Amino acid sequence: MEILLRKAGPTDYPFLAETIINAEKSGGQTLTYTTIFGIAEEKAKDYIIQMLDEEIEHCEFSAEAFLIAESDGKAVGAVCCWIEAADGIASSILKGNLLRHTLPKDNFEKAIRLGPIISELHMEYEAGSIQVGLVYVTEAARGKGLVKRLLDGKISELRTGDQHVYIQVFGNNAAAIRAYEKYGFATVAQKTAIHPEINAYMPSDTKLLMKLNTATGYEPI
Amino acid sequence: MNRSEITEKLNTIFPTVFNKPGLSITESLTASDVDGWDSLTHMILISEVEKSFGITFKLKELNKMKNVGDMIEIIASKL
Repeated sequence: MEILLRKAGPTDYPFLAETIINAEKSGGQTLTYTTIFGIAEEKAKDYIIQMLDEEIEHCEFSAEAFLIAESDGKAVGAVCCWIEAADGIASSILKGNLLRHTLPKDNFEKAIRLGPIISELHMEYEAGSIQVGLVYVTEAARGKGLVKRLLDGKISELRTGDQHVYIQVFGNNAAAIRAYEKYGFATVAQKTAIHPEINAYMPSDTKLLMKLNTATGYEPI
Repeated sequence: MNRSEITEKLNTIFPTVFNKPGLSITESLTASDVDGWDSLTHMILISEVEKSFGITFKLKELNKMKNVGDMIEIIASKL
């Protein structure tokens, strides 16, 4: 299988939206767009494509943050990484601005009462660090070392010094946690929400912060 | 409305949105200074500010707000 790594363009947006939805589900069925905002999956994809189209940099909806793995002209994997607060604004704020700009008002008004429940799981991102938003490989292309190639490629592009590299992952996503550990990430912090309703809205009541051991974990290319 | 009047009004919005009765804002305050200022709470905050001042922010304006001082600046330009 010949693999080409390349930047993402507008024709990739539907695929990127799929990878974002997949990451949001965190290996389960709970989709926060549906549970928090009352938006069905197909409609959520449309909104994600609209947000990618805004070309806002340095957050999880930034097309420039993605690197695509392509085989026979077809996207088979993607990684999303950015430099946190590169322009002085936290990625979670950019994300909030984009969601608010894009989602219908009724949908986020519904979500307002959930603020205190959801924010229990919020973990601060370290300004200047490299944040991995997601890594995704299609089922057919798994087991071929693509997670490593994608991460090596994107981290090499962003890393200019000795920045830390982090990923936040929900505690239920055992397969993802294993893959990140295999690459060289280790859990350095975790947060568990105590609100009894948390599992109705989020894929898990626990979030892990994993940090990459850059001495052994990644091979610059 | 001058900057201190805007600040005064924001000082009634912030503690409610973040559920922190003692929270008092300064111009240099950023999201990382306030526990729980995540994307969803940010959406709520911006909506409350718009409602309270009777203004609408553009996406471009929101993405330039590095701290509360920037927010005050943009609010002032719209009143």
